[in-house]
Amino acid sequence: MKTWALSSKSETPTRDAFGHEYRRSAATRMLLLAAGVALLAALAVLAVTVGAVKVPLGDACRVLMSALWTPWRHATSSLSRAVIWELRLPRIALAVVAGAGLALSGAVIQTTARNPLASPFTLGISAAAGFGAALAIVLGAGLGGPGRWLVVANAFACSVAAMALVHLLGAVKGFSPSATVLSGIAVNFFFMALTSLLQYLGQSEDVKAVVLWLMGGLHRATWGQAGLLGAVLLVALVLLWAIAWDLNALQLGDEVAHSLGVPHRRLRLWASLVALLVTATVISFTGTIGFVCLVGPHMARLMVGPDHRFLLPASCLMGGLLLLGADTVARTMVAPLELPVGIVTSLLGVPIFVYLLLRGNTGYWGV
Amino acid sequence: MTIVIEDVHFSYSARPVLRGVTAHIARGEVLGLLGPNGAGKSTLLRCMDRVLTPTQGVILVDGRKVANIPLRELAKLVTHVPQDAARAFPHRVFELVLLGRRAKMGLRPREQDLEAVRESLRWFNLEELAWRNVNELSGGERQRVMLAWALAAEPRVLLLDEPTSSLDLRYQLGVLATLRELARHRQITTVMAMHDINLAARFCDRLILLKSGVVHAMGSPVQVLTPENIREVYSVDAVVRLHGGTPYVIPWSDEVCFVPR
Repeated sequence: MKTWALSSKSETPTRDAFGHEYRRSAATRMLLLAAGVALLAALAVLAVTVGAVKVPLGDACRVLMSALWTPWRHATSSLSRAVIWELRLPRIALAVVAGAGLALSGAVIQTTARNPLASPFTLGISAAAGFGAALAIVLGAGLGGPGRWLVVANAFACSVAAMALVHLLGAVKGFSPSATVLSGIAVNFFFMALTSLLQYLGQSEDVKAVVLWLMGGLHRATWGQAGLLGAVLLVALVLLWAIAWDLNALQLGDEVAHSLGVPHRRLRLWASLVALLVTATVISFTGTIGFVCLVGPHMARLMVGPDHRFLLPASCLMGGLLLLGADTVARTMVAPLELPVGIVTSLLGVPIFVYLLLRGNTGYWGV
Repeated sequence: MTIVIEDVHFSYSARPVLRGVTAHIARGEVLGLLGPNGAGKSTLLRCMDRVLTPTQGVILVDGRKVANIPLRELAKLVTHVPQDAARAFPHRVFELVLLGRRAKMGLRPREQDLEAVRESLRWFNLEELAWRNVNELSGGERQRVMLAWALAAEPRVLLLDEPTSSLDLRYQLGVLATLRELARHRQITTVMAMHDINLAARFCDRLILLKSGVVHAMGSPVQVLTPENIREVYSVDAVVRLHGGTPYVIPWSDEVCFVPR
């Protein structure tokens, strides 16, 4: 007879209630994830139909379905097919995987830095990528082959350099969360200053190209880029999902994580390196698209809570939805012109962010 | 599990905190660590859980050096609840307590994991709060959640840093009685750093009185809590009265005031 429990309740009735409630909450979250996938698919189909050339919904569906069953192919026009397969779909795919990658790394960085306002961008990655791109555009100097690849390779190399710098500085203080964030801020300002210097010295044509790159855009999307980013995203998601419980433990502080058998320093280092590599890969191709990596994880947390087993896929979904939505608005609002998507993500993201802030009862704000 | 602490020293950079602590703790014993602020209570607990590595000396758990036990295995044996834990991202109580099972659990919790969580929630009267957000709870409720978290892990050694600091009178008594019963029935060796001398006297089998990183006195509450020891360690004059075999310390010193009167 266990007489020492503080609760006076008999144990039989609650026994199944708890298991039932737990399984129900897990099932609810799975259902929310499935709903997110459906919403993303619907938004993608909608995005296929709108743009400079309008494609009727029926046509769009037939073109998409013809990938599964070739006889449908004959019922579609070659213009629709070309617009959809060559222009719209690569861009939609890129928007989804880029958004997913940014939000995934945002979620991980918020956990490893134990700070809801941290993101890969506050750790200096975006400023470094911007500097790399500016270096290629203004001086034509850097790594990689000719033309566009010079910019991409340069942006990536500088992001990796920033990552190394932030972690070397953080290592001095044993990878404590605050040391990492502070060294990230230092690296951020360092690279921003260098970019400003290049812009000050550069020709006006080049400066304009740099500014456009810094605003971010998906207009150069190809299937190859989408495929590459998709592969990187998939590998990162699997790696991070496998350590979901360890990341959960890390949220409770280093000593608690240690008590649970989680090597917190090593975990923080490797998890944030994987996350930052994803961001570096994404923004090397797209330019600095802000806010997705900050807002995406918060929306995901609101949806499924802080358990990384659900939070990581949910962040991917939210990031994909946000960036696809923003890009669709960016290329249709003032068609045939298009806005840089970075502007739209921020304009869409700020109200969502402020709403989350004012809502307040989400708990990570301490209000 | 038995714990042997043998001549343990520890310094934060140049400042020595532990200066040769030696103690033997029996299986299923409840040991109270007493002493003024900065005496080294939390540091000793951290050394026992290997959050910190002693600069000198050795700690043995069942004859094995703590330093040589792999982290994952150590986590299955020893659970440490630091001060002021559980303020972070908004977990639900049930999720957080389930996290205590991490060292024994795969990606998907099994029936026995949920059962362990349910049981420890009941021990600390948290069933009603199981689906509440941890950040919405009071300090005392959060403290009980962290105790449930620790016991869900089914540890063999439990290290608690001021486990009753935020609790009301009823829960101070209830939680300590619960912990003592669990220690007896499940042979959980329990070491608690505490400030409330009278609670420690009532619920601990033995006490260690630390002063500036050395053991000033060790033994049963009656042996340790003498007016001389209280004066030497805390610089407070006190009388000690026995009530039902338990010593109660009544401080009366009126010279403890940090502004000039």
